[in-house]
Order: sequence, then C-alpha cells, then structure tokens
Amino acid sequence: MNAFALAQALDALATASPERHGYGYSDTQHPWRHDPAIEQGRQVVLEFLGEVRQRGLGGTFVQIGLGRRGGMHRALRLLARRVVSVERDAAVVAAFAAAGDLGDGDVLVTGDSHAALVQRQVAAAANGCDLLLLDGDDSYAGMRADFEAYAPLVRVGGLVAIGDRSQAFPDDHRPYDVDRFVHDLQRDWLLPRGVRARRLGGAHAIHCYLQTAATAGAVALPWPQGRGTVVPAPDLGQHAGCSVHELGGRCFAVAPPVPELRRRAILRNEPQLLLTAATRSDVAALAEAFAAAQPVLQQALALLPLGQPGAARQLVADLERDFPGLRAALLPSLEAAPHNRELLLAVGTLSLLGGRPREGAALLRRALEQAWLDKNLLLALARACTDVLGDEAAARELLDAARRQVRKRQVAAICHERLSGNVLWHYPQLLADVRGVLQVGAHTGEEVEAFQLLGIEHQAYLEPQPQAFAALQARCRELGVRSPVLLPFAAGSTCGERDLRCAFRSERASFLATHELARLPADERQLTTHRVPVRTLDSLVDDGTIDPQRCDLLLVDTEGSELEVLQGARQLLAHVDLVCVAVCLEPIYAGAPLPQEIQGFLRELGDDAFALRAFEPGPDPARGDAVFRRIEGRR
Amino acid sequence: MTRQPLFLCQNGRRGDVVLSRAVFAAAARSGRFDLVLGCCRDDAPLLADLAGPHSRIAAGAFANTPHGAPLDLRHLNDDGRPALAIWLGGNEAWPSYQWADTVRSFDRALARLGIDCALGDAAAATVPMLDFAGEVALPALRRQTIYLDNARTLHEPSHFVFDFERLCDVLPDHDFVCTAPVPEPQPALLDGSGLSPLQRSRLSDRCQLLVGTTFDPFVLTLTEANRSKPKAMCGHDARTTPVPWDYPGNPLELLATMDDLIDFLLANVAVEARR
Repeated sequence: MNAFALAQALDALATASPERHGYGYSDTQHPWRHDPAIEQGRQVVLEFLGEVRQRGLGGTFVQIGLGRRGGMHRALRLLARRVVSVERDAAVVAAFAAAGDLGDGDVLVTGDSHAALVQRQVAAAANGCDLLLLDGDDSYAGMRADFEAYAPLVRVGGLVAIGDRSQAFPDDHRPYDVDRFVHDLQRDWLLPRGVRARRLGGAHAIHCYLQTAATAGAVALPWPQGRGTVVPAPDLGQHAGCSVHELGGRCFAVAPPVPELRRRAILRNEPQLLLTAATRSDVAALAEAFAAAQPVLQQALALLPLGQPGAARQLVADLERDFPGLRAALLPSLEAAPHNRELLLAVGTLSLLGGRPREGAALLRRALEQAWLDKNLLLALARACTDVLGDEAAARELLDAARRQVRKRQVAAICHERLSGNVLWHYPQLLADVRGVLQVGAHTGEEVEAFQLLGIEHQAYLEPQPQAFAALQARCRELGVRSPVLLPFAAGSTCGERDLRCAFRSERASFLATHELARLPADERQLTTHRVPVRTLDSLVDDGTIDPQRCDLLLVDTEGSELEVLQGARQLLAHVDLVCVAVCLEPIYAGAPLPQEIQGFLRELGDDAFALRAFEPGPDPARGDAVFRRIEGRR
Repeated sequence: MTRQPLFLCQNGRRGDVVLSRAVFAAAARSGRFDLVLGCCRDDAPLLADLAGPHSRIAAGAFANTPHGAPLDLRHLNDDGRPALAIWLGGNEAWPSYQWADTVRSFDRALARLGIDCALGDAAAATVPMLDFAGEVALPALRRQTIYLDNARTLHEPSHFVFDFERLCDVLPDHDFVCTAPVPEPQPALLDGSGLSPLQRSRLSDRCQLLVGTTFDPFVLTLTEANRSKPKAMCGHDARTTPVPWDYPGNPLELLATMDDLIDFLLANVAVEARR
C-alpha cells in the first residue's frame, strides 16, 4: 500500500459511518461536539502509519486504549497482521465487537491496563510485538504505568509510540501531563541509551522511538512513583438524573451520570448537561431546578412559532417566580461549558423572554449553529427576531444563513455518498455556493450527472469532438438538464481553427503533440487529427453566448492546453470563484504547462487573483487536478 | 463634525481581543467615529483604557472561552448602530494576524456597511504595538528576569515542553517569571500565573528577554518597550509558521526545541551583558 492509498484508506475509515464510528479526526472537531472516528490528528496519524509502513512493520500491534470508537484500532489494522487492544470500558469493547470491526486474529482485552491480569493476557498474546501504541490513560502517572508494563513487549526493531493530546486539551490543573512524561522519558531514559524519540504532530502528537537492545527489557525509570498523580473526581452520588463530582474546588452535576469526571471531558463538551455550583448542596438544588425548568422553557420556546410571545413570556415569568435567580445560577455552568446545548437553550430562553432579548437571541443562535437542521428552533428564533426583537432584517439574515447551512450539508452528503472520480467532490465546502458551472473539455458529459445531483442550475459545456458532443447532448437530455449551454468549440487563447490530435480514447484528444518522453498506453497514442473551431472564452462572453454572472465554477480539462484556455478567459475569470484545472505531473504533451505555471498565472491576475486551494494526483500518477479559489473579497 | 456611530467587537479569543485593540485605537484616533466597543465580561479590563468621550465599553454577562466569545457580541449593540465584528486579516478560514491585512479587512467591512470612513493605507503603513495605559501594581523583580510565557492556548501546529531545571541551570543569575504554574517550583521560577493580563504586559516591559509558546497569550508582550527586545516563541517550525503581527525589525525567533531555546537565551543574555 503506497502513501496515497494509505491516506485514502484512512480517510475512508474516518468518514465511512458517522453514526456508528464517529466522524473525522480529533483536530477537526467542532468545539461543541467531539466525536472523532480517529482520536488523533489526521496528519499525525498519516505520518505515524507512514513511519510504520516504511519500517516494514506488519506483524502484531498492541494498542493500550481503544478510545471511544476504536478508530485507531481500525487504522492500525490497515498495516498489521493482527491488533491486540486493551480497553477498560466494557461497553466500548462490546460496541466495537458488535460492530464487526474486529479483524481475523485481533484480540480485545477488557480491563484496566494497569491490572496484573490484563498485563499477563497481553504478554501472552503479543510478546515480541512490532508496535506498541500507548493511547489510554492520559495522565502522567497512568502513562508511566502503561509504559513500564508494556514497552518491554516490543521487540528490538519495533516501534514504541505514545499518543499525546495534552496540549490539544491543556488542563491547567495538571502541571504533570503526558507531554511532560515524554519529555522526562526522553531526557532520562532514552537519550542516555542513545535513542531519541521523534514527535509527530503538534498539539495532537504521537511520540515514537525505535526499540533497541538498550531500551528493551525491564524499564527502570529514575523518578519516584507518585510523580504527577492525578486524583480523579469520582461520583459522589446522583441527583435528578445527574452524577455529582467535586473537581478543582467546585461541584459539578453531569448528565448522563459518569463514574468519574475528567476535566478533559469538560473541555471537549462531552457531557450532555453540565451544571456547576460552589457546594454539593447548591449543585444538587440547581440540578433539581433545571430538571423542573427545562420542560417549561421548551414549552415557552415552542410557543414562539405559533405567534404567542406573550404566553411564552408569561411562562418564563412564572418560572422565574418559582425559581428566582435561576438564570444567574446557571451562568457559571454556561461559562464552564459554553458549548453545552442544553444550557444554551435554557439560558437563551430565559434571557430572550426574561428581559434580555438580544442576549437570549444570540445564545439561541449559538445553539442553532450546532444543529442547523433543528427546524423548530430555527422557526422559534426567526419569530423571536420579529415578535420579540422587532428586527425583521435579523430574521431574514437568520433564514438565509440556515438555507446556506442546509445547502452545505446537502452538498457534503451528496459528494460523500454519491460522487467519486473528481477532486472537487472531496471539497464539498467549496461547492456549496456554486450556482453555475462552465466546463471546457466536457467530453461526453461524465460530470453532468454530478452537477445535476448537486442542483447546479446553470450548466455550460464546451466539447469540439463531434461524436463526444453528440453524446454530451444526449446525456444532458437524458438527465433532464434545463437549458444547458452546449457549444461545439474548443477553447484557447485566440480564436480560429486548430488541429485536434485524437487517440483511440477520445478523452485524450489534445492540440499538443505527445512529448517524446511520454509513456502512454496504446489507446492513448495520437492517431488522427481533426480541424476544430476554437474560441476564447472571453469572445463567448462578448457575444453573449456565455453569461459570466452565472458561472461560479470553471472546469478545464483540455489535455495540456489548459493555460491557453485560461489566458483567453481573463474577463470571465473576474466573475468566477472557483477554477478546477487538470494538470500534467509528468511529460505527456510537448509544450504543456507545468502546474506551477498555471498557478502563477492565476495568482498574478491582480485583483482577480486565485490561490491554490486543493491539489490531488489522480489514479494515473502522471495526471492530477488542482483547485483554485478566488482570494480577494472574501473578508 | 458629525461622527459616524459604530459598534465594534471581537468575537475571538482573548489574544484576538488584545490585537483588536489596535483597530479600536486606530478608529478612535481617526476622530471619525462614535464608538461602542463590545466585549466579554472578563475582557473589559483589556479595553478600559480605550474608553473616552467618543468611545465607551459595553461588557457582556459572559466570560470569554478558549474558543472565543460564547455568543456573538453584536448582541450588545443596543442602540441599533452599524455593527462590525473585527476580522484580523486575510481571506482564509483563519485570520492572517497581520496589521495591514487587518486594516484592509476593516475598511472593506466598513464599505460593505456603506460607511465611507476607511482607515486607509496610511494607517496600515506602521504596525502599532498594543500598550495598555493606566497604572497597575507589579511585583518587584530582584534581579535580571526573563519573561517565560508558559501558559498556552490551543494552537494545533505547536507543541513544546519547557525543561525548567535546565533553564535554571544554564542561567543561574536570572529569574524566570512564569505565567502558568510549573510542575516543580524552584527559587528562580517566579509564579506569575495569578497576574492579570495588564500586569503581565507591564511586567514584560521590565524583563530582559521574552519567551513564549503560543501567540495567544504571548501577544500581551507586544508593547513599545518590547518592540526590539529579544523574543522567541517555542514549539514552532520556522519553515512553515508565519510570524504573527510582523513588523520591520521584528526580532522574534521561532524555535522548535529546548536546545534552540537554550542557544537563544545564552546568545542574547551575553549580548545584554556586554551592553
């Protein structure tokens, strides 16, 4: 598996099944929802697996800590013959096994990695393993215990790796953390033995080193045990459906109940509800008040779309009479968990209908931004803008924003689930605002269906080869494209006629001769020439054939003459936001521009300049696609 | 002259609020605006010195968070004047944190609001520092001190762990004032974690060298007194990390390792000793 294939496989794992496996990587999560499929940064994991691949390691891998979704286990499985994972949360293990994600020969050990029994089980299954990844207890003492227990299992020539998220979620209350453990390990254990650990990544990091004869065997770290011990915040009892914990001098009530509360869980906004107060009795009282108030607040909010702001205000007034100071009591909770949706909704409603309408609307907007598909909240907030704030412009802006967000999600879903074969589908965020496309070198319309699925209303295509053009026309008819602009021309830097050199594969037709160093398969060798009309895109704008106002996206795939097409489109480019250009990465055509030349041209358009936004090689390593986006005027 | 009413705010993190002071101050100095500056509750002291006859502070009920303001601060615009959330430059998803870009973004935003009061290229020409006015109580420094900003905010590319023992060993004649608690207190490590942002900023003026990790909160050291002072941010790849808030003659170095930091300190302490 080469690096490109590995990256593709990893991304597929990370995005395959959001509901079952989480989505994405740890460094690309929203502040309000931390549910990555792979609990590390993307670049870090790619570098790490690349390191593993380069060293030819592929036997037994051991992972301490399955994580919430088992993503790293599945990632390691891409290279390992088998993976042995240890996880103390039996529910996580059960879910992982039930999801059918275990590979043949994989072993899941349920239990505390510090327990002797677990350590014996792992030693029996994986002594002499190729790789160890410590990704469990994210405390200094816990990581030390895991390291001492499991590092000796790695054979000489294997890799020992330590996952470190301490700087991604810095905890001021833990001066000793995983990053300090690694630092101390390097200074006091590895360097004296001539071994240097390498850090991959930044705030999300994986530190790894190659096991040598000097570092193999029993570990004897020079610092006393107990250094950096963290006392977890255990469950002090339950109240109103919340577990109560004491942490850092304050009391917290958390729902759903958890056996212990970690500060990192708060930083990641993991609890569904988090309440805080100075004392245990205060937080218990607050939990009870919140449990009683929440249904009333939901009811009040539900009255707004029905045009009953007065009744909604009365409900909140009654609530404030029954629970005086509730809003003030909830503010510290919202400050401790500023992205907690339950709190945003509660405090937002209290503020909106309790005399602080602008603040309330802003809080509810934050709740909506976490879930733009919450139609009830959207309608409530829109009505609040008009009926409570008296601001119709704000209501319109809100609905526009919601439409854009829904469109973004639709485009992302379509790109992810239904489209493949073009670099653009990997960047749906660039396509959400596209309303019109102009494709030069459309061939038989391979992308027409995609544009139809994406709901792009205005479609214009250029294709000079008569047979391909006829197929393009048929395709547009078949797919029901409304009023496509179909032009049987080629595009270039000047108008006129040119000889188009054609191969057996008609999509490889080019104005340029094959480069003498090109290595082409037989069906791509140029066989015949046809005289075809050539227009500049600007001339088509001038005569009204192309409406530049309707073209947001320009695709150019003309087998080596892409730069000429762009040179003849300066006027058009002033209106385009996105340009996708096929590029040659190896000599294919004589005189074809380098990708850097195309990038330079687009960058030097002055006020209409474009910056490279994405680049991907294709299945054919000699070719790729580059996506450029307009720079100016965005902010 | 009629001043244009304008509401300005910064919805980002505290470091962004500090940088936005430059825009707020430039707008106030231009004499063209009647300003309301919105901010989170605990950021109000950062803007207090900008209050004046044509500039007032509107602080919200909520504290700032590691991810920025918990709600859009434009909700504090209670008299319906044009409102603008400051963007710290550039056209990408993340700000460029450069002054010229910030001015350009501000002017563009004003134009979108239909306000013809651009700060212009003249304002963009000189990169301002972010000094705070007013008196603050500062701890006394007993000897040559290095400002060690070991507090950090999330900055994905950067990762650094200070070896405090080594720092104290290589510079036995210096104190280090640290802005976050250190794992093992030592006599030369002064605890500055309880100081306010204003106090840290002022204290940095008195320090010989400035060392930080992430730009937020190191941005507090961007004062006139520190403009040419030796300074470094640790945990960055200088090949790929742009220098934030860059200016001509900026001595800021981006250091990747503890060895780099030791070299930086020894070289600059030697220079200072020769002065």
